[in-house]
Amino acid sequence: MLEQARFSLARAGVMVGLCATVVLGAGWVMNQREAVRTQAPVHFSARTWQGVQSVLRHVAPVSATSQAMASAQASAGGLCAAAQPGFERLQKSVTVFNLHLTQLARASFVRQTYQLNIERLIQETAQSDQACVELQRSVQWLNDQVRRQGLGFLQSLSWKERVAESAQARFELQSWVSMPKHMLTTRSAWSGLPGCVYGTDAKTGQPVVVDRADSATWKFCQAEVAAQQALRSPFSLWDHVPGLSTLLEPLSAWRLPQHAQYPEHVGDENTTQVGGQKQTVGMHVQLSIDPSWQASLQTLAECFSGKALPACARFATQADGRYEKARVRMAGLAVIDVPTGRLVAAASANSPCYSHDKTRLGPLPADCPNLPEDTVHKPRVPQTLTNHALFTQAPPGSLVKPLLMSGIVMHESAQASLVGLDQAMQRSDSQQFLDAFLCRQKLGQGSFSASCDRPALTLKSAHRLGWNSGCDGLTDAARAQCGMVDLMHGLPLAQRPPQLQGVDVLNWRASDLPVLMGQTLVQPFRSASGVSGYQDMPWPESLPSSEKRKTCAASGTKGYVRCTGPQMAIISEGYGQGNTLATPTGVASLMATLANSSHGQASHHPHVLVDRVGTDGQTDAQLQRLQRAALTIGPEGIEPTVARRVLAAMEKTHMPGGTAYSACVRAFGAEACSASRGVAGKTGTPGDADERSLSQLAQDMRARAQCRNTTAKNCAQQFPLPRPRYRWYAAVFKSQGSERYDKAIAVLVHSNWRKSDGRYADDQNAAAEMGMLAIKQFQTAPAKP
Amino acid sequence: MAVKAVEAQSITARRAALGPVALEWVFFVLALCFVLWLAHDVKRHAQDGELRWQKDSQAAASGLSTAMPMSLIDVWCQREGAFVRKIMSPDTPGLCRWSPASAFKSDVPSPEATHARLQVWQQEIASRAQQWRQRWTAEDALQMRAAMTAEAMNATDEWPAQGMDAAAGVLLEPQVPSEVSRLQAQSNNRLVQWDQWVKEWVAPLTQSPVAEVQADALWWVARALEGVGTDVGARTVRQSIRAQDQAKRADYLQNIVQQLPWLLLGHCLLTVLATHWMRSRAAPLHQFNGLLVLGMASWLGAFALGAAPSPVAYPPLLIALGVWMVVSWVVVHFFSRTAAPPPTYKPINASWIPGWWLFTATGWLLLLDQSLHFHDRLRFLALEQWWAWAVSAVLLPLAAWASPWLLLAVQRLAHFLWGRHSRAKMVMRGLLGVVGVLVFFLAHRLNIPQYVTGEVLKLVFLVSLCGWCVWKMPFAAQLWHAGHARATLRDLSGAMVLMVLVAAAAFITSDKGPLLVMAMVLAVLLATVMGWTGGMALLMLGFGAIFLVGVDLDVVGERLEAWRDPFSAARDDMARLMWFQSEAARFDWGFGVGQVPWCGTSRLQACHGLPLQLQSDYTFTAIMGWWGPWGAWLWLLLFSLYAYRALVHCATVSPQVLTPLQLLQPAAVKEVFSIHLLFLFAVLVLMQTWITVAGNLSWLPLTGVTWPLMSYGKSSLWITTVFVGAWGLRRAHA
Repeated sequence: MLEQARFSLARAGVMVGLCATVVLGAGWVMNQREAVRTQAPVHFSARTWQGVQSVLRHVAPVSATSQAMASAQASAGGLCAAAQPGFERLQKSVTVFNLHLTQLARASFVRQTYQLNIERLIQETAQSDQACVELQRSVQWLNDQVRRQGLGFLQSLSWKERVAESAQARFELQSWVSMPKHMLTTRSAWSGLPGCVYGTDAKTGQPVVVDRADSATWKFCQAEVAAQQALRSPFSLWDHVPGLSTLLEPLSAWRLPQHAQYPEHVGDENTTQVGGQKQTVGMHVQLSIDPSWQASLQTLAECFSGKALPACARFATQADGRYEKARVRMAGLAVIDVPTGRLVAAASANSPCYSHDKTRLGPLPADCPNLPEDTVHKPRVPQTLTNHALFTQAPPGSLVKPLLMSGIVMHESAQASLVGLDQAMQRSDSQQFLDAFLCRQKLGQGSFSASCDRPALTLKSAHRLGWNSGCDGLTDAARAQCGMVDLMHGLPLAQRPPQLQGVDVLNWRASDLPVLMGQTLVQPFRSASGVSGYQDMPWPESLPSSEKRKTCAASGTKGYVRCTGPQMAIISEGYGQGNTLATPTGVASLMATLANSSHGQASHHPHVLVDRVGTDGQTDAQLQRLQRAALTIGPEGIEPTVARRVLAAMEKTHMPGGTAYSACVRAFGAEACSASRGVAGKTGTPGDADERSLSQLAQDMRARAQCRNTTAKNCAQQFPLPRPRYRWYAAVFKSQGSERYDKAIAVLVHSNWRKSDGRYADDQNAAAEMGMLAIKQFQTAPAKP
Repeated sequence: MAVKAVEAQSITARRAALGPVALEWVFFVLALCFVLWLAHDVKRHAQDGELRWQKDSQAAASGLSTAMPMSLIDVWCQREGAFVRKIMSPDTPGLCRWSPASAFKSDVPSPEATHARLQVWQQEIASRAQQWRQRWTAEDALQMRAAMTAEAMNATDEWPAQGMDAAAGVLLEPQVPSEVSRLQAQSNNRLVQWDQWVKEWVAPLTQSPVAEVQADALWWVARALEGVGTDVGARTVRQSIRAQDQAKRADYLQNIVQQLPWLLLGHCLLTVLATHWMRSRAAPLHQFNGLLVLGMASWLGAFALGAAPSPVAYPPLLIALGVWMVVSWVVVHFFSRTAAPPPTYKPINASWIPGWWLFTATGWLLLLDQSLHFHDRLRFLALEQWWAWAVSAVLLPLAAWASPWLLLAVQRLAHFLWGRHSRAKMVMRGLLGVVGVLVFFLAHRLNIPQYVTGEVLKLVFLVSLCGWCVWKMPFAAQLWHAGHARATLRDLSGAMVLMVLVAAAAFITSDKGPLLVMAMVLAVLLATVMGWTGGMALLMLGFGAIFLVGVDLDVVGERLEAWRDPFSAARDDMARLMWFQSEAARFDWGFGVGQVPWCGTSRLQACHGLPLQLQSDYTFTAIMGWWGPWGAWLWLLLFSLYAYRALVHCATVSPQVLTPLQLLQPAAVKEVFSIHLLFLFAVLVLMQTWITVAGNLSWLPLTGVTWPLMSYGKSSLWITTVFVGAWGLRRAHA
């Protein structure tokens, strides 16, 4: 009988295929509906929202609820009544919800205790014939949200008593709480691609895109920029710029379509065709950083801070004998394009122990120095590290000399000779510079003029060279941001010059990136409202008398050592310490302004954002306005003759007798350093006064702790805290093929300790060596690999 | 000449046997290369994802090397079990169990002794409360450091140090990262709550003069200190224990990612060796022991690579293993004659085992990628599935080894369900059905998860339906086509009753997804019986019923609503899937392995991307994220071909065995059952896959069923593996 059966597994197999075809086919046809094909950018359930709103309308303070209960006794019967199905579940859900509301009052979020009045709810919804099940669904929805998100969900509702009285009118009468629509609105987490991030070629200013194809995003970005004839680079900014996300954070509202303010700033029009479909894309941003320069300097910084890279073989870092085999503990290098003010590179690296000391993260790395806690080396509150070239602030030390000189030479006087000042710059003679700065008769000898304009002129120079921005402002905001500029656009933060008229200031401030350039000759300020900051020293009130200057000049072996008392803060400032602070970017900016002044050209504050373009290739109009304003409100600059004289003095620092000579010899060889090399630089060595070894330091810190437990008052003076030991180098130089100073560089490092005796091993200025090596790369070899 | 002919025949036979084996090796090598390539990409992009595991492990790794001492309850029960039972009221929860040792202790303490013992309890409780507090203080400090690591590396919330101090020259005053502030607040909150709890509950008990009536209260507090209970103290302890557990898991996962290629290679090797070992002509006992040895060796290997705990941590298992070895030795040496003849097993085709490995390995890597980059709550899923997958490699040949007994059980069940019986037995049959449904009801009440009951339900359905297919369906088809509709209905009624019972169980357990799959399997079979028209009509009727009934059911109604209006339904799952799919489709081949923005393309802090069921219900969408629509469709095609080859095999073999003469031989009946089970399994797998794919694409309402072998789920993986091994590795030479 079975042989005649029409059944077979083969037939069943075919049936399987047929079923699948029918089911999937039918599904596909159903899926061609308009509602599904044209995908909405948001999800919003109007039904749920209305249901919840109708429930919330009956949430009221307990006093109001009891009145309503009294009036609702004679409730009309509807689809939901005591005997109806689902009524008990509704009652239970309401009880739970009321418990949540009680907790809200207990948490002091609201002043009154609110309750959901079930009688009123049923009575009023009877007119709309809502069944118990529907009501229960809405109440349960609210309970589910509280279960998932906690009381925070209820707190995020719109409560009448928590809004300003003027805004309470928008609540319906008898309505105490409502749910904003946006709480139920889901936006696509993929509603658009983030805008691409491009670099900029340091020579031509063209956009640079990564020349790799192992990521869909990179391929997309290459296609997007193809029309602009962008250059290709094997280096990605994401791989070589530490803290790039911090740089991009202010641009999120333009670059990320998912950002809450994106629609406001960009709208819905910035779209492109991807895979044949229209797609929202964030605005592309072109950063001023040159990927090749950046990669090269980043390698240099990492090699000097102890990273064992194959590429480090070409640098003689001379790290032996130091902890972690690192020449320095931290390094930050900033390069700025002189004519345009673009930040070309911002390299940053630190040794693992430095990172651990600051952040206290992860296990302790090997070969770390034993540092005392609660000091600047190992702060009590851990810090985060981003990019030292941009954000690390340090006293510039002798790097203020070019600035001082520009102020000093503005005021030539027979009573205060400047003979020998250029040589003093070459060998970085601080005492002679202070003599000149404080109007001594001759450098190294003589009395001091009673009236002396040089400090005031120096302060003026600082402003004209781009430092102390806002320090002369009269508002708290200006003083709180003394010395800072918006690195994103290259605009001073504290000023409202006429050039900024027509610029949407709120829009600008939404994307600014405040970075300290530099401040000098300032004093701390604290307003009555508690705002703290810095302000320019007042002149001539801050100038010590000629006698005091003379006494100070005579103190110590070399002079200007023990200068205590009122008005003597100027001495610290003259040394480039005290309240004088700068970042590598700020120092490079100062150098760039000097170079521009010597060329007689306008200067610009440093900036990192070159362009913000839509998919149509058009620059954002708002950015254009900001850029136009930035072109006209850069640092004023100083007289070309003064600038040339300062640079001429700086050109000699790498020659025999100069402070950068030995570094130059290491980088270029002795012969090359005997003549001008197209480099005008200056070293800076702040914090030299503290020569204690690590063991002495530890001992002092123990003694300090013991001392503070006693009644002694001068513990801080007796056992001073350690100071960071920085080394600087800054220069302007002519890059390959350039006839003029076209790039400015600043290098900041933190010295490392010798393992043998625990003292700083910084006889040779590592920053100068790194600066020279960097300059060599960009002068002698093509910048591009 | 005759000898030569025999030799030639032997060589031909060997070559014929070698052909599929060689092909299988080729498939294995291809699968391994492909999976290693995927693993390379997953590992290459794992850095960001590993940070959160580091956060977990750092919180408990270095500073908290000392494990918590034994639970107070255990200590008291071991030390003075009899005393505890005497002094506590009998209905006290967690009371010490009776032990032979305590039975011999005549522990009737004097009032003074009771007093002294309770005083010791007081001290121990106070000390344990203090220990917990110290532990959390240390834990929180470590967690904050770990959070700083993560934030420093992410560098998203960092701001320049702006503060300056005139006196010190430079003050690098930092802004404390937001995550650290959150942890600080959380830590403070926990300690405040704990101190409050200790003040309100522990201190009054431990600091007051002790009395016998306090014993119960001390017992409750001790239990709370072990994390049992609902009060603040118990909850806080539970959270801490969970954090410790998470740290361990995070360590394993980090090791797994580190050793990924080696572990995959090892798993592949284990699968190959275990399945080839089953083909050796060894006695069943030797085969079983060989599998055990391979399993243990692999476990040790995984332990050596840090991907599994030490076997030594499971003493009962080792004892059981030792006992089994002794029993084996006794059997081999004293009862060797009673041992069964050596069987060998070979797969139904050369791609059967490599395919199983390829799909399970790819599914696990997909899960690993999600554990790395998807929602925080899912960060440990890959570990659980890793262990389940490792067990599956042994379960596969083990199922084959056990298949004769399994077949026997299936055969007997089929006889009971579908054979001709007396009225009494018919009643028994009905009762069995009702009992079955009640068991599912009980399981639901006992909170046994739906995914377990769902898988078991499918298993029961397939096994029960298999007998119907063998004994009833051919007759039904014959009668239907002969025009005897009423007689046919009698044969069909059995399957209908089965479907009703299964539906009842599915409704009771609130798991209606598998019901759709099972209904479709039945519809396919009925369509085979009734012809194309009738079958299709039945299928449409079924769908119509689901829609009509489903609208009034909460979950089904919601899913139907989401299917109808994805962007305005109460649930937004479908909307999210559609957004993601359209995003993945913009690139020809998806986002790439390891680079899928599961949480969205923006740098938003919270994960607002795909629904949380991605790992189970939306595997097709996840594949689409990896390889784009083309890749996902190709993968589906490959999987369908894999399962369809099993159908083809069954269809090819069935005419030879489905004959009346064959069915009279018991051995052949087993073969018939084996073929039908494999066939039904393949149909189920195909239907389930297509239904889940159609749901993912919004072509059907979402059903919540998973993609067999690919999706997350231990029970699903194991049951599917048992089917693959038991009916796919067929016993060739008994």
